[in-house]
Amino acid sequence: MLFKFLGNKRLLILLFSLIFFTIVMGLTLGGRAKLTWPEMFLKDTVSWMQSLIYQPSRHVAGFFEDVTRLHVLYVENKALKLSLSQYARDVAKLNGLEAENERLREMLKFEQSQATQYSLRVAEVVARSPDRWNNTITIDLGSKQGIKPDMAVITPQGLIGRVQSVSLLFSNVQLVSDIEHGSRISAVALTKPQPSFGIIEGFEPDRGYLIMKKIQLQDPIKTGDYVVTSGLGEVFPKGLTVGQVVEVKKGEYGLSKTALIKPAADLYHLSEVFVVERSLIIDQPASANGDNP
Amino acid sequence: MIQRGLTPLILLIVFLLEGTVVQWLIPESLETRLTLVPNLVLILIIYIGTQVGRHQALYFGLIFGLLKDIVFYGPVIGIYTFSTALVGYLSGLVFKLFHHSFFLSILTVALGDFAYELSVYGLYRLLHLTSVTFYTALYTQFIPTVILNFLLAILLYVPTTKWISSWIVDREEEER
Repeated sequence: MLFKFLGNKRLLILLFSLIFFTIVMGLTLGGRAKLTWPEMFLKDTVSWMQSLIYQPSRHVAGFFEDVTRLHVLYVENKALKLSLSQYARDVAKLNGLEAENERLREMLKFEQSQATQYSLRVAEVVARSPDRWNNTITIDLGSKQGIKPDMAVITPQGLIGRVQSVSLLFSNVQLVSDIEHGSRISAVALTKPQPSFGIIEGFEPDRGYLIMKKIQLQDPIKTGDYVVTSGLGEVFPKGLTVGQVVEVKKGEYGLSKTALIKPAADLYHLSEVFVVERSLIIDQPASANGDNP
Repeated sequence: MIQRGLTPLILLIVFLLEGTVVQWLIPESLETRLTLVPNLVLILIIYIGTQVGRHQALYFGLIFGLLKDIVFYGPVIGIYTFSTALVGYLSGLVFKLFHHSFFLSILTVALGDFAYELSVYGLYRLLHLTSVTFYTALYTQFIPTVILNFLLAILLYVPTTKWISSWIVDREEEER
């Protein structure tokens, strides 16, 4: 009965289509940043339609969420006011340290590297793939607005990803949770007495942690340290918050350490993000503000 | 009476809703532990398969799977195309072999959705694009998603059947 059902023609078609699909998948696999124009056209039109729906529905859902969370907000507000006064004191201390830093830099005639000069472009999220396998979002800036692949994308809380492919009016952003086949992030943990460098090479989907590898054995990295991008990889600029260390263990072959990092940014409810654009400013030594925030 | 020609438009609207609105409807407390993927387009295509035929379901599956591939997912083209088309075609076989009934359609949707998730996951693992283990994926994604889509399918059954049967009547009238 199976044979009669399959029939010669159907079996042939099935086999040919399997081969065809395997070829298509093989050809398109492997990080294409430059899209063919039919793809770009489709992406632009569909993303534009999605953009019409995404923001209003977010506002409606947000409204309902806010109403249910009113009491929580009140309690949160009280707690935040307390911590705000503490932050004010820290800011004063920070200003003092910045001024000192300036003086010392000038004394040593340090030149700022290009990696610390960047500007932020605001973008709105237009659509999101709900699957777990492929964490990408679509934002409403494209090549027309000057976005190029490999630009870093952040929220006020921290780094969320990298621009993967760009069409005329929209772009796809690959989130850090998708780092399987994305670029590595060169990162540094702000430890004392000296920072610990490493490379964020993977993501553990079960617990949601980034995996930072190739940390030197003698580096003093421990749980609770803050991790930012180091700018050394020349893809991401320096100083973008990545997260906090939650676990440190021996790396592969015992030659290095591996740290698990909880991302600082919330990867789930994304609505507005910043694209970090590097601007090539000819630097003068000891410019006015030190490191940009 | 919804015309047959509106079918691509309706599927397109559902596709847009899938990527945008439905995410915000899932409460936050669940979102970090489970992944619920409402495959509305797939449900509609399976219904088309069980009630109209396998060829229609195949074509719609190909087109909308390809649309999903291009619009959402950068790295590889072909995974969603293949999976949607396959599940559409297989559910169309139900039309040919069995007598139609409510329970059969619902069951087909549940099984078809599970097959779809397995196929997508399998291809992603095969191409080394994800490292989520099968058991984790099963508990956090497949089973909740199939349950969600099963419930959505029950909700959508009556309107979809009315719409599709009006489409068949139109076609029969044309053929006369």
